[in-house]
Amino acid sequence: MIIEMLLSLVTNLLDILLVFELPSFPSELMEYLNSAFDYIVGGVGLLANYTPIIYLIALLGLVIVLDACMYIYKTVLWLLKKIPNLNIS
Amino acid sequence: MSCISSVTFCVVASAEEIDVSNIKLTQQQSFNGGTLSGATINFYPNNSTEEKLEKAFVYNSIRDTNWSNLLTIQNKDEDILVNKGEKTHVKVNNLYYSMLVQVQSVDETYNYEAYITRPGGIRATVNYTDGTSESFNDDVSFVVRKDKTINIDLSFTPSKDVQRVYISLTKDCASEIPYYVSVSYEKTLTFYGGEYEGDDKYQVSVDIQSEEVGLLEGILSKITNVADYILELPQKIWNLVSDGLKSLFVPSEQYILDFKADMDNLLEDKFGFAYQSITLLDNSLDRIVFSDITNTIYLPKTDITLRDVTNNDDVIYSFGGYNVKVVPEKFEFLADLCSSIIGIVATLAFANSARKRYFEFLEGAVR
Repeated sequence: MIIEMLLSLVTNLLDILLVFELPSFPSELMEYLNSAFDYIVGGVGLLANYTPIIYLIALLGLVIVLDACMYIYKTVLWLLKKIPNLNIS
Repeated sequence: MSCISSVTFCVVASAEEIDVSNIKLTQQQSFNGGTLSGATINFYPNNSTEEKLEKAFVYNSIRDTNWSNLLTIQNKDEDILVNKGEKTHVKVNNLYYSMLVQVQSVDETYNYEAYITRPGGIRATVNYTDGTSESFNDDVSFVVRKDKTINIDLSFTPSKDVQRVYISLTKDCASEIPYYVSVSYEKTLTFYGGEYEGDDKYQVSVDIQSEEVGLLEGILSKITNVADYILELPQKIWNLVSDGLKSLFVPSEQYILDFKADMDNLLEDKFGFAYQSITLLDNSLDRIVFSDITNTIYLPKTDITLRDVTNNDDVIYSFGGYNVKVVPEKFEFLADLCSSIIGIVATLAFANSARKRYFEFLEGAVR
């Protein structure tokens, strides 16, 4: 009961705080996009006969995570180099 | 010449069958002199005209081979012969069941056992008829109900013909207390001048065996029940508390589903195309990851019309309209081989990429 009340509170707060409303895609465009993604999914399904597609997706996720970590690392270093007293070159 | 008639009735009831079964009627009769042509045992429902006898068991244990080894059981439908040493049972749907025991010998001892099984007890009437002119009736009624406390109303009529013994259990009994009730009497008759005369020495003994043990077991059973209840009490309290806590903190499944639907609607309203794009990508990724691999391609049916100049006629050529396997039969190993190679290459590429990131990290992101 307590959790239900908290979740309802979150929903109501979001509804109040999110004052903007971004426009949606036109329905025709959504149909085209759905069709395009259907073809993509179908093509990937065909490729999956010859490739370990799930394994590749997992590896791709890891690469993205590693790259993101590196960019964060570089950003932090860049900020630290701006501080003269630290003497980081 | 004397005749000693001894009849023993035993009621043994236990456990769930306290009201129903194992009512054992044993008759042992010693007869010296004269001719005993027959004895009839009539079984009645104890006190109800609606109840019916369910089963009657008869065991023939005539001991002497000079006797006919047959018991003839007569009921309203047929005569049933029971050979020596045999046991039979008769299912009786009549309210009245009569069993006639025919004994065709003299000067011997015989006995037989009759069992009857029915709810509520039995009422048995035993009629003895000797070969001369005397007949004796023993009317013994048992009323055994689902009772616990045994009150015996012993009504023994000191007459020559009729003795009645009533056994009634008056308190509701739901425990598993076995008890044993034995009622017996012995009647001695003396033969004087061609007639039997009773000597008015009726010996009646009522023996309730194991009653004390039964009561003790009953008390122990009650104590055990109370102890079990006390032992189960913490578990019951914990179940009560845990159920209360669960209802307090854990939302119901239906509420979670409703909440998810509400959130989807809210996000779609607020974020519009951004939410739609994310949803589209998410659904597509789910379909790729969790859906089955497509191993066939459907080639749509296509008609091509060509003009046959020679005959000046149109010729239609049709293609497609069927599924084509992506991996041809007997070539699955090539697909597996290709998949393995790609997997190895991808792993090496990932390892190389990770190695480069590692060196970048060591160099302090100089690049």
